[in-house]
Amino acid sequence: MKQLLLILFVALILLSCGKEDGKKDVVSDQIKIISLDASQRNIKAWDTTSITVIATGENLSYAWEANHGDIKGSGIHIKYAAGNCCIGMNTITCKVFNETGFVEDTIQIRVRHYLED
Amino acid sequence: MIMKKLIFGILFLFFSLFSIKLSYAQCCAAGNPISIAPEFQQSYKDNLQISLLFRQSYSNTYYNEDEVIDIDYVDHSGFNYLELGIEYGLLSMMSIRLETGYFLSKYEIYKNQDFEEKKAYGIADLNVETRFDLYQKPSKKIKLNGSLGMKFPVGVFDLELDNVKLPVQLQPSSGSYRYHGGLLISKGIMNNKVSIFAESRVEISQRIRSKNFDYKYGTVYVLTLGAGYKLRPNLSAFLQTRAEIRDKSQRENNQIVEASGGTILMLVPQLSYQFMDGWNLNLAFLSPVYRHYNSIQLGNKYSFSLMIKRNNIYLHKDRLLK
Repeated sequence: MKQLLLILFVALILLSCGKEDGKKDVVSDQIKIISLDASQRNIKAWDTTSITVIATGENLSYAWEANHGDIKGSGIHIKYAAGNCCIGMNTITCKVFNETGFVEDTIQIRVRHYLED
Repeated sequence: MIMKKLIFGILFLFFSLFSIKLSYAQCCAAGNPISIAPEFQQSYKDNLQISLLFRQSYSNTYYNEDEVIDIDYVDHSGFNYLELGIEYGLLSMMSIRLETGYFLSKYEIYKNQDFEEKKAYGIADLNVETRFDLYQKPSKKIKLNGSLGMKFPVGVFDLELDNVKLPVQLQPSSGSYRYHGGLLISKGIMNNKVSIFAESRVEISQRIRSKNFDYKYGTVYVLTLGAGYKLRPNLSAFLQTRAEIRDKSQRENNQIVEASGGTILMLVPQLSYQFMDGWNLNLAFLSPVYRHYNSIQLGNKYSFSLMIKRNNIYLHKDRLLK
């Protein structure tokens, strides 16, 4: 019984470890981000802005992350929105990667209070 | 006399905490949900207890402080959560409990057509807790228990969908070490047919500092007053009033997150059924009756939990026979 419980817990903990996302952790000199821009950089809470990245390189993939707020879509073009929980200057990070490595850039979007004019 | 002072002190603390400026917890806060019902019975020496909990939560209304506000964004959100709990009595008055949870789904469905439904699933945090008797007087049917514990962010906190990281409220793990403690006092009256109880709990989160995320969840206080009634020898009904008070969170550079925290006051009816030898089935429903959020937040509509528990598993039957 004890062993069974121990195995169960160890298995659960191990399942949560060792994520492999396929993104190489080396900076590549064969990828270049030309631009990372947004349709609006100052939005009201729950409004949407479009963000586009243009990069050069072979077989590129794109990963996105926002420190606060939601991202919709994937690839070179995403949409971003955030609620009142995320009022302030938020950073969206775009990582462009291929088999040679990655490069990344950030863009900042200011989110204002929903009830602010 | 000392006991009277202690009880008075606890009740004073309990009611003082009610007077703190109201603040609350969001529907889909990251990490394991806080348990709905207090645990009265801890495991005694060499006794093992195993429980499996299912909890569902649903939210579909935005509130600006305590008023409904129409926001065209999330239509509804919620989660389905499973938790395995194991408790073992180390000493006659102290037990250790491990809980590990798994979100079967944690989702947001949007009204905003720019956004499509998002679903996450995965392992939540690991809770390690010790529970101990502080005082008991069987002749007066009074019992005071304490608990201290820590939650470890062993679960998934970097979940991505198509190389896009999901927002923090959908991540199965809180990403934060959390420390918690509580006091539970209960008294049996009317020949133990009725029990009354009060519980206060606090949970403090450690700051998360990662490359792209700097955040500290607000401290959570849970205050419960309740009573139980034995309908039959193996069936009890409970009713709790419960307040969850959450301080505001902080983000980078110690900026206060104004739209976080608040207070929610809930009614929690609960049924507890004992069957066979040492089995227990618990059903609890939680519905807010008052809420006051800081700024605008998505509010929880209801939660319910179903728990099946097996008590009295003795790992050292030889010692028991002696």
